[in-house]
Amino acid sequence: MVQAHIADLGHGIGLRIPYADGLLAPDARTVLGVDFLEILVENYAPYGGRLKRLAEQAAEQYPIVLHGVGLSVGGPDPLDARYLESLNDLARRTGALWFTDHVCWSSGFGVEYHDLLPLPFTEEAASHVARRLREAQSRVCLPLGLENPSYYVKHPDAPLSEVEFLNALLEEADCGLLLDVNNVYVNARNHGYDPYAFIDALPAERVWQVHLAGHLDRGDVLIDTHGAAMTDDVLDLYRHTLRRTGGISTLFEWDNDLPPLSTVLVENNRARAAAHDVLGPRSLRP
Amino acid sequence: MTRSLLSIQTELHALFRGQVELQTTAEALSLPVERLRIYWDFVRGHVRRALTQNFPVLVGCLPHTTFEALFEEYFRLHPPPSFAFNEAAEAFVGFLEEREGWEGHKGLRPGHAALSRFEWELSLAFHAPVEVPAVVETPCLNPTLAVLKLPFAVPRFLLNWQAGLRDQTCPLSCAPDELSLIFRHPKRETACFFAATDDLLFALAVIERGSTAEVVAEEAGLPVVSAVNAMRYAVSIGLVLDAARD
Repeated sequence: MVQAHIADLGHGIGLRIPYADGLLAPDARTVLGVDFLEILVENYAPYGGRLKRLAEQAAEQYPIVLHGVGLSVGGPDPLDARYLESLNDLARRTGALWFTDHVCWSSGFGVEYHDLLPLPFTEEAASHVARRLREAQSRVCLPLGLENPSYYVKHPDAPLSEVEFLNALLEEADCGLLLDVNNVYVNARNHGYDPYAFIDALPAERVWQVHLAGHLDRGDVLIDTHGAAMTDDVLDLYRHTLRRTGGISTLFEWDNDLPPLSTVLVENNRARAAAHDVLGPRSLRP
Repeated sequence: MTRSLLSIQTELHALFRGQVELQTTAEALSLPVERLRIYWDFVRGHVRRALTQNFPVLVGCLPHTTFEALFEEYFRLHPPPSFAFNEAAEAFVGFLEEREGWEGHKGLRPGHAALSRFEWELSLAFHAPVEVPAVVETPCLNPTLAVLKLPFAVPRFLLNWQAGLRDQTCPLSCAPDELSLIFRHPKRETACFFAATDDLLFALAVIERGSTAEVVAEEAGLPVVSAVNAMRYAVSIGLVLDAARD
Protein backbone atom coordinates (compact mmCIF):
# COMPACT_ATOMS: atom_id res chain seq x y z
CA MET A 1 0.00 0.00 0.00
CA VAL A 2 1.20 3.50 -0.81
CA GLN A 3 0.41 5.47 2.34
CA ALA A 4 3.72 4.62 3.99
CA HIS A 5 5.48 7.37 2.05
CA ILE A 6 2.67 9.92 2.06
CA ALA A 7 4.01 13.27 3.13
CA ASP A 8 2.88 15.61 5.89
CA LEU A 9 2.80 18.78 3.83
CA GLY A 10 1.44 21.03 6.58
CA HIS A 11 -1.46 23.39 5.92
CA GLY A 12 -2.67 24.36 2.48
CA ILE A 13 -5.54 25.85 0.51
CA GLY A 14 -7.01 25.43 -2.95
CA LEU A 15 -5.60 27.27 -5.96
CA ARG A 16 -8.58 29.42 -6.90
CA ILE A 17 -8.15 31.82 -9.80
CA PRO A 18 -8.98 35.01 -7.83
CA TYR A 19 -6.26 34.06 -5.35
CA ALA A 20 -3.61 33.24 -7.92
CA ASP A 21 -1.88 36.61 -7.97
CA GLY A 22 -1.53 36.60 -4.19
CA LEU A 23 -0.49 32.98 -3.89
CA LEU A 24 2.00 33.11 -6.73
CA ALA A 25 3.74 36.34 -5.78
CA PRO A 26 7.44 35.98 -4.97
CA ASP A 27 7.96 34.57 -1.45
CA ALA A 28 4.19 34.19 -1.02
CA ARG A 29 4.55 30.66 0.35
CA THR A 30 6.59 31.94 3.29
CA VAL A 31 4.82 35.25 3.76
CA LEU A 32 1.29 33.83 3.60
CA GLY A 33 1.98 30.68 5.59
CA VAL A 34 0.59 28.35 2.95
CA ASP A 35 2.54 25.10 2.84
CA PHE A 36 0.96 23.45 -0.19
CA LEU A 37 -1.75 23.92 -2.80
CA GLU A 38 -4.52 21.68 -4.01
CA ILE A 39 -5.54 21.92 -7.65
CA LEU A 40 -8.99 20.84 -8.80
CA VAL A 41 -8.50 18.71 -11.91
CA GLU A 42 -11.74 19.82 -13.57
CA ASN A 43 -10.81 23.50 -13.26
CA TYR A 44 -7.39 23.23 -14.84
CA ALA A 45 -6.66 19.98 -16.67
CA PRO A 46 -8.76 20.45 -19.83
CA TYR A 47 -7.68 24.03 -20.46
CA GLY A 48 -4.74 25.98 -21.80
CA GLY A 49 -3.69 29.58 -21.55
CA ARG A 50 -3.71 31.28 -18.19
CA LEU A 51 -5.16 28.30 -16.34
CA LYS A 52 -2.43 25.99 -17.60
CA ARG A 53 0.26 28.51 -16.77
CA LEU A 54 -1.11 29.11 -13.25
CA ALA A 55 -1.02 25.40 -12.45
CA GLU A 56 2.55 25.10 -13.67
CA GLN A 57 3.63 28.27 -11.91
CA ALA A 58 2.04 27.06 -8.67
CA ALA A 59 4.03 23.84 -8.96
CA GLU A 60 7.26 25.82 -9.13
CA GLN A 61 6.51 27.39 -5.75
CA TYR A 62 4.49 24.83 -3.78
CA PRO A 63 4.05 21.10 -3.33
CA ILE A 64 0.89 20.20 -5.25
CA VAL A 65 -1.85 17.67 -4.63
CA LEU A 66 -4.70 17.07 -7.07
CA HIS A 67 -8.35 16.71 -6.23
CA GLY A 68 -11.37 15.94 -8.37
CA VAL A 69 -15.10 15.47 -8.62
CA GLY A 70 -15.21 13.80 -12.03
CA LEU A 71 -13.68 10.34 -11.67
CA SER A 72 -17.11 8.89 -10.87
CA VAL A 73 -15.51 5.94 -9.16
CA GLY A 74 -18.91 4.56 -8.22
CA GLY A 75 -20.50 5.21 -11.60
CA PRO A 76 -22.11 2.71 -13.97
CA ASP A 77 -20.15 3.68 -17.10
CA PRO A 78 -16.58 2.61 -17.88
CA LEU A 79 -13.92 4.91 -16.46
CA ASP A 80 -13.54 7.99 -18.63
CA ALA A 81 -10.31 7.63 -20.60
CA ARG A 82 -10.25 11.35 -21.40
CA TYR A 83 -10.49 12.17 -17.71
CA LEU A 84 -7.64 9.85 -16.83
CA GLU A 85 -5.50 11.27 -19.64
CA SER A 86 -6.15 14.81 -18.43
CA LEU A 87 -5.32 13.77 -14.88
CA ASN A 88 -2.07 12.16 -15.97
CA ASP A 89 -1.13 15.20 -18.02
CA LEU A 90 -1.78 17.59 -15.14
CA ALA A 91 0.02 15.31 -12.69
CA ARG A 92 3.11 15.23 -14.90
CA ARG A 93 3.08 18.98 -15.46
CA THR A 94 2.75 19.79 -11.76
CA GLY A 95 4.65 16.91 -10.17
CA ALA A 96 1.59 16.37 -7.97
CA LEU A 97 2.08 14.01 -5.04
CA TRP A 98 -1.34 12.35 -5.10
CA PHE A 99 -4.88 12.59 -6.42
CA THR A 100 -8.10 12.17 -4.51
CA ASP A 101 -11.75 12.01 -5.52
CA HIS A 102 -14.94 11.18 -3.70
CA VAL A 103 -16.70 7.96 -2.80
CA CYS A 104 -19.68 8.67 -5.01
CA TRP A 105 -20.86 8.59 -8.58
CA SER A 106 -20.89 11.81 -10.59
CA SER A 107 -21.72 10.61 -14.09
CA GLY A 108 -23.59 7.77 -15.67
CA PHE A 109 -25.49 6.64 -18.75
CA GLY A 110 -23.43 9.09 -20.79
CA VAL A 111 -24.39 12.12 -18.70
CA GLU A 112 -22.14 14.20 -16.45
CA TYR A 113 -23.91 15.47 -13.33
CA HIS A 114 -21.00 17.47 -11.88
CA ASP A 115 -22.18 16.45 -8.44
CA LEU A 116 -21.36 13.91 -5.77
CA LEU A 117 -24.26 11.49 -5.90
CA PRO A 118 -24.54 9.12 -2.95
CA LEU A 119 -23.92 5.39 -3.12
CA PRO A 120 -25.85 2.83 -1.10
CA PHE A 121 -23.87 1.42 1.81
CA THR A 122 -23.79 -2.12 0.49
CA GLU A 123 -21.04 -4.66 -0.04
CA GLU A 124 -21.88 -4.63 -3.74
CA ALA A 125 -21.26 -0.89 -3.98
CA ALA A 126 -18.07 -1.11 -1.90
CA SER A 127 -16.68 -3.82 -4.20
CA HIS A 128 -17.73 -1.86 -7.27
CA VAL A 129 -15.88 1.25 -6.06
CA ALA A 130 -12.83 -0.72 -4.96
CA ARG A 131 -12.58 -2.54 -8.28
CA ARG A 132 -12.81 0.68 -10.27
CA LEU A 133 -10.38 2.50 -7.99
CA ARG A 134 -7.84 -0.24 -8.53
CA GLU A 135 -8.40 -0.04 -12.27
CA ALA A 136 -7.97 3.74 -12.20
CA GLN A 137 -4.82 3.32 -10.10
CA SER A 138 -3.37 1.04 -12.77
CA ARG A 139 -3.96 3.71 -15.41
CA VAL A 140 -2.57 6.83 -13.73
CA CYS A 141 0.87 7.95 -12.73
CA LEU A 142 0.32 9.01 -9.11
CA PRO A 143 -1.27 7.52 -5.96
CA LEU A 144 -5.07 7.66 -5.82
CA GLY A 145 -7.05 8.12 -2.64
CA LEU A 146 -10.73 8.51 -1.80
CA GLU A 147 -12.62 11.11 0.19
CA ASN A 148 -15.66 10.56 2.39
CA PRO A 149 -18.29 12.84 0.80
CA SER A 150 -21.17 14.66 2.38
CA TYR A 151 -24.51 13.05 1.57
CA TYR A 152 -28.08 14.08 2.18
CA VAL A 153 -29.98 10.87 1.54
CA LYS A 154 -29.19 7.44 2.90
CA HIS A 155 -30.57 4.51 0.95
CA PRO A 156 -32.77 2.92 3.58
CA ASP A 157 -32.36 -0.78 2.98
CA ALA A 158 -28.55 -0.75 2.75
CA PRO A 159 -27.17 -3.08 5.42
CA LEU A 160 -23.88 -1.33 6.27
CA SER A 161 -23.26 1.83 8.25
CA GLU A 162 -21.33 4.60 6.53
CA VAL A 163 -18.12 3.82 8.37
CA GLU A 164 -18.45 0.08 7.74
CA PHE A 165 -18.95 0.81 4.06
CA LEU A 166 -15.98 3.16 3.94
CA ASN A 167 -13.68 0.76 5.78
CA ALA A 168 -14.72 -2.14 3.57
CA LEU A 169 -13.94 -0.33 0.37
CA LEU A 170 -10.68 1.17 1.67
CA GLU A 171 -9.54 -2.30 2.61
CA GLU A 172 -10.58 -3.86 -0.67
CA ALA A 173 -9.19 -1.00 -2.77
CA ASP A 174 -6.09 -0.82 -0.58
CA CYS A 175 -5.96 2.93 -0.92
CA GLY A 176 -5.61 6.02 1.21
CA LEU A 177 -8.34 8.21 2.66
CA LEU A 178 -8.80 11.91 2.32
CA LEU A 179 -10.72 12.45 5.53
CA ASP A 180 -13.05 15.42 5.22
CA VAL A 181 -13.70 16.34 8.83
CA ASN A 182 -16.38 18.86 7.94
CA ASN A 183 -18.19 16.16 5.95
CA VAL A 184 -18.06 13.85 8.98
CA TYR A 185 -19.60 16.59 11.09
CA VAL A 186 -22.27 17.46 8.49
CA ASN A 187 -23.17 13.81 7.90
CA ALA A 188 -23.29 13.05 11.62
CA ARG A 189 -25.72 15.90 12.19
CA ASN A 190 -27.83 15.09 9.13
CA HIS A 191 -28.02 11.35 9.79
CA GLY A 192 -27.84 11.24 13.54
CA TYR A 193 -24.57 9.58 14.52
CA ASP A 194 -21.60 10.40 16.72
CA PRO A 195 -18.85 12.03 14.63
CA TYR A 196 -16.19 11.19 17.22
CA ALA A 197 -17.09 7.51 17.14
CA PHE A 198 -16.97 7.68 13.33
CA ILE A 199 -13.42 9.07 13.39
CA ASP A 200 -12.39 6.49 15.97
CA ALA A 201 -13.65 3.67 13.76
CA LEU A 202 -11.52 4.68 10.77
CA PRO A 203 -8.10 3.18 10.08
CA ALA A 204 -5.88 6.14 11.01
CA GLU A 205 -2.94 4.69 9.11
CA ARG A 206 -4.83 5.12 5.83
CA VAL A 207 -5.47 8.85 6.26
CA TRP A 208 -3.33 10.75 3.74
CA GLN A 209 -4.89 14.16 4.02
CA VAL A 210 -7.59 16.10 5.84
CA HIS A 211 -10.11 18.54 4.41
CA LEU A 212 -11.69 21.27 6.50
CA ALA A 213 -14.44 23.63 5.36
CA GLY A 214 -17.45 25.65 6.39
CA HIS A 215 -21.06 24.62 5.98
CA LEU A 216 -24.51 26.17 5.96
CA ASP A 217 -27.01 25.38 8.70
CA ARG A 218 -30.38 25.48 6.96
CA GLY A 219 -32.21 24.47 10.09
CA ASP A 220 -33.55 21.17 8.81
CA VAL A 221 -30.26 20.12 7.30
CA LEU A 222 -26.60 21.11 7.15
CA ILE A 223 -25.31 21.77 3.64
CA ASP A 224 -21.63 21.30 2.84
CA THR A 225 -21.26 24.59 1.00
CA HIS A 226 -17.53 25.31 1.26
CA GLY A 227 -18.69 28.88 1.53
CA ALA A 228 -18.06 29.89 5.13
CA ALA A 229 -15.57 29.79 7.97
CA MET A 230 -15.14 26.61 9.99
CA THR A 231 -17.32 26.18 13.02
CA ASP A 232 -15.64 25.56 16.36
CA ASP A 233 -17.31 22.13 16.45
CA VAL A 234 -15.51 21.14 13.25
CA LEU A 235 -12.24 22.46 14.59
CA ASP A 236 -12.69 20.38 17.76
CA LEU A 237 -13.34 17.31 15.64
CA TYR A 238 -10.17 18.09 13.71
CA ARG A 239 -8.21 18.19 16.97
CA HIS A 240 -9.66 14.80 17.85
CA THR A 241 -8.66 13.48 14.42
CA LEU A 242 -5.07 14.62 14.86
CA ARG A 243 -4.81 12.75 18.14
CA ARG A 244 -5.35 9.60 16.09
CA THR A 245 -3.44 10.41 12.93
CA GLY A 246 -0.58 12.59 14.12
CA GLY A 247 0.65 15.31 11.78
CA ILE A 248 -1.27 15.16 8.52
CA SER A 249 -1.53 17.36 5.42
CA THR A 250 -4.55 19.57 6.03
CA LEU A 251 -6.35 21.67 3.48
CA PHE A 252 -8.98 24.31 4.13
CA GLU A 253 -11.54 24.51 1.29
CA TRP A 254 -13.45 27.62 0.31
CA ASP A 255 -15.09 27.25 -3.10
CA ASN A 256 -18.27 29.35 -3.13
CA ASP A 257 -18.89 33.02 -2.46
CA LEU A 258 -15.15 33.50 -2.37
CA PRO A 259 -13.98 36.02 0.22
CA PRO A 260 -10.67 37.89 0.05
CA LEU A 261 -7.63 35.63 0.24
CA SER A 262 -6.87 37.04 3.68
CA THR A 263 -10.08 35.47 5.03
CA VAL A 264 -9.10 32.04 3.75
CA LEU A 265 -5.65 32.47 5.24
CA VAL A 266 -7.24 33.19 8.62
CA GLU A 267 -9.00 29.82 8.40
CA ASN A 268 -5.78 28.14 7.34
CA ASN A 269 -4.07 29.61 10.38
CA ARG A 270 -6.91 28.50 12.66
CA ALA A 271 -6.30 24.97 11.45
CA ARG A 272 -2.58 25.35 11.96
CA ALA A 273 -3.09 26.64 15.50
CA ALA A 274 -5.42 23.73 16.28
CA ALA A 275 -2.78 21.31 15.03
CA HIS A 276 -0.19 23.02 17.18
CA ASP A 277 -2.50 22.64 20.20
CA VAL A 278 -2.51 18.89 19.69
CA LEU A 279 0.86 18.12 18.19
CA GLY A 280 3.11 20.94 19.39
CA PRO A 281 5.89 22.04 17.07
CA ARG A 282 6.13 19.61 14.17
CA SER A 283 8.52 18.89 11.37
CA LEU A 284 6.81 18.46 8.05
CA ARG A 285 7.54 15.33 6.00
CA PRO A 286 8.12 16.43 2.42
CA MET B 1 -34.57 -6.88 -0.36
CA THR B 2 -31.53 -4.68 -0.91
CA ARG B 3 -31.69 -2.75 -4.16
CA SER B 4 -28.81 -3.14 -6.57
CA LEU B 5 -26.51 -0.19 -7.17
CA LEU B 6 -27.45 -0.10 -10.83
CA SER B 7 -31.17 0.01 -10.13
CA ILE B 8 -30.69 2.98 -7.80
CA GLN B 9 -28.56 4.77 -10.36
CA THR B 10 -31.10 4.08 -13.06
CA GLU B 11 -33.87 5.61 -10.94
CA LEU B 12 -31.84 8.71 -10.17
CA HIS B 13 -30.75 9.12 -13.77
CA ALA B 14 -34.39 9.10 -14.86
CA LEU B 15 -35.11 11.80 -12.28
CA PHE B 16 -32.23 14.03 -13.33
CA ARG B 17 -33.14 13.67 -16.99
CA GLY B 18 -36.66 14.84 -16.19
CA GLN B 19 -38.23 11.51 -17.14
CA VAL B 20 -39.97 11.08 -13.78
CA GLU B 21 -41.13 13.44 -11.05
CA LEU B 22 -39.17 14.07 -7.89
CA GLN B 23 -41.97 12.70 -5.74
CA THR B 24 -42.13 9.49 -7.77
CA THR B 25 -38.40 8.83 -7.43
CA ALA B 26 -38.48 9.62 -3.72
CA GLU B 27 -41.26 7.09 -3.22
CA ALA B 28 -39.60 4.46 -5.42
CA LEU B 29 -36.35 4.71 -3.45
CA SER B 30 -38.02 5.35 -0.06
CA LEU B 31 -36.08 8.60 0.32
CA PRO B 32 -37.28 11.85 1.87
CA VAL B 33 -38.35 14.11 -0.97
CA GLU B 34 -36.91 17.28 0.56
CA ARG B 35 -33.50 15.66 0.90
CA LEU B 36 -33.63 14.33 -2.64
CA ARG B 37 -34.57 17.81 -3.83
CA ILE B 38 -31.14 19.00 -2.66
CA TYR B 39 -29.51 16.87 -5.37
CA TRP B 40 -32.11 17.90 -7.92
CA ASP B 41 -31.21 21.52 -7.23
CA PHE B 42 -27.46 20.84 -7.24
CA VAL B 43 -27.45 19.00 -10.56
CA ARG B 44 -29.51 21.68 -12.25
CA GLY B 45 -27.52 24.43 -10.55
CA HIS B 46 -24.28 23.23 -12.13
CA VAL B 47 -25.71 23.61 -15.64
CA ARG B 48 -27.18 26.99 -14.78
CA ARG B 49 -23.76 28.08 -13.50
CA ALA B 50 -22.06 26.82 -16.68
CA LEU B 51 -24.39 29.09 -18.68
CA THR B 52 -24.01 32.14 -16.45
CA GLN B 53 -20.22 31.79 -16.44
CA ASN B 54 -19.87 31.37 -20.19
CA PHE B 55 -22.58 33.82 -21.25
CA PRO B 56 -22.47 36.52 -18.56
CA VAL B 57 -23.64 39.37 -20.77
CA LEU B 58 -26.38 37.40 -22.48
CA VAL B 59 -27.74 36.08 -19.18
CA GLY B 60 -27.47 39.55 -17.70
CA CYS B 61 -29.48 41.18 -20.45
CA LEU B 62 -32.18 38.53 -20.83
CA PRO B 63 -35.31 38.97 -18.71
CA HIS B 64 -35.01 36.58 -15.76
CA THR B 65 -38.15 34.67 -16.69
CA THR B 66 -36.90 34.25 -20.25
CA PHE B 67 -33.59 32.86 -19.11
CA GLU B 68 -35.25 30.48 -16.67
CA ALA B 69 -37.61 29.19 -19.37
CA LEU B 70 -34.68 28.70 -21.75
CA PHE B 71 -32.63 27.03 -19.03
CA GLU B 72 -35.40 24.55 -18.23
CA GLU B 73 -35.66 23.50 -21.85
CA TYR B 74 -31.89 23.45 -22.38
CA PHE B 75 -31.35 21.33 -19.28
CA ARG B 76 -33.88 18.80 -20.53
CA LEU B 77 -32.49 18.62 -24.07
CA HIS B 78 -28.75 18.96 -23.56
CA PRO B 79 -27.30 17.00 -20.64
CA PRO B 80 -23.65 17.82 -19.84
CA PRO B 81 -21.47 15.56 -21.97
CA SER B 82 -18.17 15.52 -20.11
CA PHE B 83 -16.25 16.29 -16.94
CA ALA B 84 -14.99 19.53 -18.51
CA PHE B 85 -17.38 21.95 -16.86
CA ASN B 86 -17.61 24.44 -19.73
CA GLU B 87 -18.83 21.77 -22.12
CA ALA B 88 -22.13 21.81 -20.24
CA ALA B 89 -22.70 25.16 -21.99
CA GLU B 90 -21.41 24.21 -25.41
CA ALA B 91 -24.75 23.40 -27.03
CA PHE B 92 -26.44 26.58 -25.83
CA VAL B 93 -25.51 28.66 -28.88
CA GLY B 94 -27.12 26.26 -31.34
CA PHE B 95 -30.05 25.85 -28.98
CA LEU B 96 -30.65 29.62 -29.04
CA GLU B 97 -30.19 29.87 -32.79
CA GLU B 98 -32.94 27.30 -33.25
CA ARG B 99 -35.29 29.28 -31.05
CA GLU B 100 -34.63 32.87 -32.05
CA GLY B 101 -37.85 34.46 -33.08
CA TRP B 102 -40.05 31.79 -31.52
CA GLU B 103 -43.14 33.31 -30.04
CA GLY B 104 -42.93 30.80 -27.20
CA HIS B 105 -39.82 32.52 -25.87
CA LYS B 106 -40.97 35.95 -24.94
CA GLY B 107 -38.00 38.18 -24.35
CA LEU B 108 -35.66 36.36 -26.74
CA ARG B 109 -34.81 39.01 -29.30
CA PRO B 110 -33.05 38.91 -32.64
CA GLY B 111 -29.38 39.32 -31.82
CA HIS B 112 -29.34 37.29 -28.62
CA ALA B 113 -28.13 34.20 -30.45
CA ALA B 114 -25.36 36.20 -32.14
CA LEU B 115 -24.38 37.57 -28.74
CA SER B 116 -24.19 34.04 -27.34
CA ARG B 117 -22.04 32.93 -30.28
CA PHE B 118 -19.68 35.82 -29.64
CA GLU B 119 -19.40 35.13 -25.91
CA TRP B 120 -18.83 31.43 -26.55
CA GLU B 121 -16.01 32.15 -29.00
CA LEU B 122 -14.39 34.39 -26.39
CA SER B 123 -14.62 31.58 -23.85
CA LEU B 124 -13.17 29.08 -26.32
CA ALA B 125 -10.24 31.37 -27.09
CA PHE B 126 -9.51 31.89 -23.39
CA HIS B 127 -9.72 28.19 -22.52
CA ALA B 128 -8.25 26.69 -25.69
CA PRO B 129 -5.79 23.95 -24.75
CA VAL B 130 -3.56 24.76 -27.71
CA GLU B 131 -0.25 26.43 -26.84
CA VAL B 132 0.42 29.95 -28.07
CA PRO B 133 4.17 29.56 -28.50
CA ALA B 134 6.46 32.05 -26.84
CA VAL B 135 8.99 31.78 -29.66
CA VAL B 136 8.42 31.00 -33.33
CA GLU B 137 11.00 30.63 -36.07
CA THR B 138 8.81 31.94 -38.84
CA PRO B 139 5.76 34.21 -38.55
CA CYS B 140 2.52 32.32 -38.01
CA LEU B 141 -1.08 32.95 -37.05
CA ASN B 142 -2.11 32.86 -33.44
CA PRO B 143 -3.36 29.25 -33.15
CA THR B 144 -6.39 30.27 -31.06
CA LEU B 145 -7.73 32.48 -33.86
CA ALA B 146 -11.41 32.20 -34.76
CA VAL B 147 -13.06 34.24 -37.50
CA LEU B 148 -16.67 35.04 -36.78
CA LYS B 149 -19.31 36.63 -39.00
CA LEU B 150 -21.76 38.76 -37.09
CA PRO B 151 -22.96 42.38 -36.95
CA PHE B 152 -20.43 44.67 -35.28
CA ALA B 153 -23.30 45.85 -33.15
CA VAL B 154 -22.83 42.65 -31.13
CA PRO B 155 -19.27 43.25 -29.88
CA ARG B 156 -20.20 46.91 -29.39
CA PHE B 157 -23.11 45.84 -27.25
CA LEU B 158 -20.84 43.59 -25.19
CA LEU B 159 -18.28 46.34 -24.67
CA ASN B 160 -20.95 48.81 -23.62
CA TRP B 161 -22.46 46.27 -21.25
CA GLN B 162 -19.10 45.60 -19.64
CA ALA B 163 -18.66 49.36 -19.29
CA GLY B 164 -21.88 49.55 -17.31
CA LEU B 165 -24.36 50.61 -20.01
CA ARG B 166 -27.20 48.29 -19.09
CA ASP B 167 -30.12 50.07 -20.73
CA GLN B 168 -29.17 49.36 -24.35
CA THR B 169 -31.33 47.33 -26.67
CA CYS B 170 -29.87 44.05 -27.80
CA PRO B 171 -28.51 44.45 -31.35
CA LEU B 172 -30.86 43.47 -34.11
CA SER B 173 -29.84 40.66 -36.40
CA CYS B 174 -30.93 42.60 -39.48
CA ALA B 175 -27.63 44.51 -39.37
CA PRO B 176 -25.17 43.22 -41.96
CA ASP B 177 -22.70 40.54 -40.94
CA GLU B 178 -19.08 41.60 -40.71
CA LEU B 179 -15.92 39.71 -39.82
CA SER B 180 -14.50 39.68 -36.31
CA LEU B 181 -11.18 38.13 -35.30
CA ILE B 182 -11.13 36.48 -31.88
CA PHE B 183 -8.03 35.04 -30.24
CA ARG B 184 -6.17 34.68 -26.95
CA HIS B 185 -3.54 37.35 -26.49
CA PRO B 186 -0.17 35.64 -26.27
CA LYS B 187 1.10 37.68 -23.33
CA ARG B 188 -1.97 38.82 -21.42
CA GLU B 189 -3.66 35.45 -21.96
CA THR B 190 -7.06 37.13 -22.19
CA ALA B 191 -9.51 36.64 -25.05
CA CYS B 192 -9.59 39.67 -27.35
CA PHE B 193 -11.38 40.63 -30.53
CA PHE B 194 -10.79 42.97 -33.43
CA ALA B 195 -12.70 44.01 -36.51
CA ALA B 196 -11.21 42.32 -39.56
CA THR B 197 -9.92 45.51 -41.15
CA ASP B 198 -8.18 45.53 -44.51
CA ASP B 199 -4.82 45.78 -42.74
CA LEU B 200 -5.50 42.70 -40.60
CA LEU B 201 -6.90 40.75 -43.53
CA PHE B 202 -3.76 41.64 -45.45
CA ALA B 203 -1.64 40.28 -42.59
CA LEU B 204 -3.67 37.06 -42.58
CA ALA B 205 -3.15 36.73 -46.32
CA VAL B 206 0.62 37.18 -45.98
CA ILE B 207 0.82 34.41 -43.37
CA GLU B 208 -1.52 32.12 -45.31
CA ARG B 209 0.69 32.44 -48.35
CA GLY B 210 3.87 31.90 -46.35
CA SER B 211 5.26 35.06 -47.88
CA THR B 212 6.38 38.48 -46.65
CA ALA B 213 4.56 41.78 -46.47
CA GLU B 214 6.92 43.28 -49.03
CA VAL B 215 6.39 40.53 -51.62
CA VAL B 216 2.62 40.44 -51.25
CA ALA B 217 2.44 44.26 -51.36
CA GLU B 218 4.43 44.40 -54.55
CA GLU B 219 2.32 41.70 -56.17
CA ALA B 220 -0.87 43.52 -55.19
CA GLY B 221 0.43 46.94 -56.10
CA LEU B 222 0.16 48.24 -52.55
CA PRO B 223 2.54 50.66 -50.83
CA VAL B 224 5.23 48.59 -49.11
CA VAL B 225 5.37 50.91 -46.10
CA SER B 226 1.66 50.43 -45.44
CA ALA B 227 2.00 46.68 -45.83
CA VAL B 228 4.89 46.47 -43.40
CA ASN B 229 2.98 48.61 -40.91
CA ALA B 230 -0.04 46.33 -41.24
CA MET B 231 2.12 43.33 -40.39
CA ARG B 232 3.66 45.14 -37.44
CA TYR B 233 0.22 46.00 -36.16
CA ALA B 234 -0.96 42.39 -36.50
CA VAL B 235 2.06 41.28 -34.50
CA SER B 236 1.56 43.99 -31.88
CA ILE B 237 -1.98 42.85 -31.10
CA GLY B 238 -1.01 39.16 -30.99
CA LEU B 239 -2.87 38.07 -34.12
CA VAL B 240 0.38 37.15 -35.81
CA LEU B 241 3.26 35.59 -33.87
CA ASP B 242 6.80 36.19 -34.96
CA ALA B 243 10.31 35.81 -33.68
CA ALA B 244 10.59 39.50 -32.88
CA ARG B 245 7.44 39.59 -30.74
CA ASP B 246 9.27 40.07 -27.47
